[in-house]
Amino acid sequence: MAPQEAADVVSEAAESPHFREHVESSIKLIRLEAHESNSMNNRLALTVLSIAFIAASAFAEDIRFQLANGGSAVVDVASSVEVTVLEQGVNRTYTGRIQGLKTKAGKPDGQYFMLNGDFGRKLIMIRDVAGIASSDSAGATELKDPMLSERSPSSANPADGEIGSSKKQVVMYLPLEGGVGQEFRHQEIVRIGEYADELSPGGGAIIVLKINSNGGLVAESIKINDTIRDIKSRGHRVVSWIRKAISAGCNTAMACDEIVFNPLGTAGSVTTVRGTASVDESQDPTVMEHLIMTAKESGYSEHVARSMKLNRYMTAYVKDPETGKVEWYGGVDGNWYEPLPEGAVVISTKDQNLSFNASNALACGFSRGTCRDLDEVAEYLNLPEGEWYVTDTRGEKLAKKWADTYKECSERLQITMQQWQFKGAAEGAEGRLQQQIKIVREWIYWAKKAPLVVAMNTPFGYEEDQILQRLELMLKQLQQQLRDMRRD
Amino acid sequence: MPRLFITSLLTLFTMTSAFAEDQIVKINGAIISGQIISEDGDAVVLSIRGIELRIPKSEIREIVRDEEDAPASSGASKSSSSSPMVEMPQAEAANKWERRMDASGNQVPLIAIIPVGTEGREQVGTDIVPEVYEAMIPVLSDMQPDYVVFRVNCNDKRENGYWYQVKREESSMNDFDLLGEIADVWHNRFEDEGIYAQPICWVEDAVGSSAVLSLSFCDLYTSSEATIGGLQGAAQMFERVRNDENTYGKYREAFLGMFRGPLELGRIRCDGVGHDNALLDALVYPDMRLSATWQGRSVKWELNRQGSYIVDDNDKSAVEFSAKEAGDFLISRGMADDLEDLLLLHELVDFDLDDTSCQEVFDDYADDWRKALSDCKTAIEEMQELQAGVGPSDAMRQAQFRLTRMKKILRMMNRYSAVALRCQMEFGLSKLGLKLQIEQLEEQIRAMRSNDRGRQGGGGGAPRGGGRGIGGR
Repeated sequence: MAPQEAADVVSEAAESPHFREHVESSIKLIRLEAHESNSMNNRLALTVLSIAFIAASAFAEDIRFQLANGGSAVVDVASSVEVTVLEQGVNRTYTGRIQGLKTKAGKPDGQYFMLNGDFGRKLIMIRDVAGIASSDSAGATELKDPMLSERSPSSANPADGEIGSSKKQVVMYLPLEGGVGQEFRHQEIVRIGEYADELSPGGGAIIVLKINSNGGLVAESIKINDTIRDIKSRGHRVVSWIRKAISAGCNTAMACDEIVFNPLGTAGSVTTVRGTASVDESQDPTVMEHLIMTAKESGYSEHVARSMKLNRYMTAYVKDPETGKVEWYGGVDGNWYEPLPEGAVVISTKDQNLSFNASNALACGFSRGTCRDLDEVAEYLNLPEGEWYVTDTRGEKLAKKWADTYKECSERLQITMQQWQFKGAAEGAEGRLQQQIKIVREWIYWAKKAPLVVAMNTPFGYEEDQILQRLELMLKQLQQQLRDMRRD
Repeated sequence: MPRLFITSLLTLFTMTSAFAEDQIVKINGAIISGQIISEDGDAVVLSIRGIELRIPKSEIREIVRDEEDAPASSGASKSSSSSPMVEMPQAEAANKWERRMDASGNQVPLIAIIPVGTEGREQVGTDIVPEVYEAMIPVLSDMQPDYVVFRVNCNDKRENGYWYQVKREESSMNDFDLLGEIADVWHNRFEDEGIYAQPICWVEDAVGSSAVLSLSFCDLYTSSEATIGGLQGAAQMFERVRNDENTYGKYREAFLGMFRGPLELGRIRCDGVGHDNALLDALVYPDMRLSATWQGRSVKWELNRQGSYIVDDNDKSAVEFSAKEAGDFLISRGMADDLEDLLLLHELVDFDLDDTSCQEVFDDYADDWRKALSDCKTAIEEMQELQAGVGPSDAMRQAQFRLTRMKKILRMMNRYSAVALRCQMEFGLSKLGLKLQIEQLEEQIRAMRSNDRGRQGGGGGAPRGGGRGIGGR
């Protein structure tokens, strides 16, 4: 079949009852959506809210595209149309014939059509359409969305420190990924708190922490919790969005004002382990006390905290079907502290460590929502138009800068540890000493940038606060040896 | 009748030049690596990442040529070192999936088949990885199918046990996040990239981690000989900490939390319909009992004996399901032994089928990384033979022989995550370790050159550790 013939067939299809059915089902779907959600997937604020037939003739099918800004356009889908699409912050106009309108069940923003023109065939998502007009019908009005001017590339990605709108809710985003005390540490959280103070003096900013961690150091976890507590005390709202919050990662999440999950998310298993041995309360009561304190401060049951720490503690809850209020019940070693009422849901038995997934966390109120992506986080946060934005991008940059530094530091430490054994040997004893001095200088450089990483990844056994001093001493000793060697 | 689409869909790019690397050893000892693109009586022209460098022969001590060509690039094009991409010429893509109309003027549904294993022996973690499904996105975006059938044929069982027990070096499923990442591509990324096809899962075999992936679909069918299960190997990972009940409990629940992720995502994508976490828990841990109670068109699963039917009452082995059992317990929605039967269950009689495009991407990826691994093994064997006296005899040439091969292995490890994983499991090679061995060997070569030139001072001698590395066992 020749391309033109194919296009004709599809155009005929656009006039067919089947096509009409497609559009009508779109209308129903979108209207339903408009009732059910006031903000779902309004990524560009230009989302088409309704599409309706306004006329039908033997030769043409007119469709009204109604935009979120209140404007609308009527186009004859059988004739050529001009479609303006916002692509990566830039408006581009394509002229061609609409070849089909599709709607996917369960995806209100998943409507699209194929546009066939000189450029070839292009899939256009209706939510991306900024304007549409029949290009060969006189008098057709091309729509311009008044919001388009605000969505220039620069305003779509505000530069550092630039606030798109001073009245808009201040939102910051900090991804925290990796080992607590390594890639994931309190310093970045301190900085994001300072940025929030700067952009929203007196509080009121929202800080979203994406958490993706298998856990890490207890000491660092305590510093992180203190930092979050401090930011909260300055009036900011700290929300954790959990992909994976195991152990110390969960401790961090629980310190936040509220928790939302990624559908794949998991959180819990906060048992303190040294080597492969767990630490119980008799060995170190502070680790349990700290988690309980964090839980209580953030409004979680202490039974949840205990069950996350040690198997023997049990947790159950009962949810009032009308009010949604949750009552918690605890126990230890197989005995509940009080009898469980009918309908109680046991989430941790005496042989089980507690770890949540998205569904059971939501059911008991440990999490407040389940968000697949940042757009859904925006919906949860009730941001204007349900659209995700950050007031500035310093959070992401902060996270990337540290992730890069950490990666380079840990790799360089491993390499230089090995180099210490052989580097410079070709140049003899003096050459070797010179190389070792160079290596220690590099370690000092890293100890200034990332003392904990150096302390944890070098075999000297020095603490974070000693590492720089010790390395500087080592450097002096090597330099002395070199001088002695040259004198001899 | 279904119309079969043309199979040859992909125009594949070759990047053999990216693999080749020659070395120029200058008189001053410097080693410059790149690709020799021309040579005349006076100079050699080397291309280093696209920059051409002319080096006078008067400055060259030695030219070490990459002795082997790059692996034949029968596979998918690789536009970057880490993420294989598939590209299709625009014109070809535009015309490939022209849609057909039926007699009533309705568009005939287009079905794409996405392989999750092919012969049953493919493995999650090497063949079945997020990258391979990401590489299918451009194809599916152009195709715009109405349905995608995830055809699962992945069985970790071998004649005498599970493959990770029989051949420990092939134990690849040690990345707990991997299943979630694959499910994320299938259930989220496809749609984010404009692929709105309705997913159907068709299990021919899902024994091992692929069972978790299969259970992320609510619209699940099996063939009559299918098995779903084989996950208890996963439970054995934490046996070494079994003597501390809290440590074991922590790892066990954290691990289960990650395994449950794909099912959780699947339920959200299916508006709450889908597979229960309790079912997965019993599939993983032998000590968990499992009982079922039918409630209309669904089953309530319990990890105890209180349900109306006890499914698993022993603590020696984890539960697994035959096709019939999967149907009886409503894990699957039906049985179909061929695609036509499967699609008939969806009332699809007239449809167009593309069962080759994604299969080619899958096969190409599997072929490419296996060929690269095979090349790495050959390089290692050559280095071992060198130790046994086969190959160049003088020390300098031996070192250069090893250096060339080590660099080649490192390139393959950087290029394919599966090669990096297997080299780690089989030979204990990490990328960082290999980088260090290369650096040591280069140091050794420099020392030998210094000695040759008689510039060696009093205290030198051969460096310690001298780069025996992977060839020297």
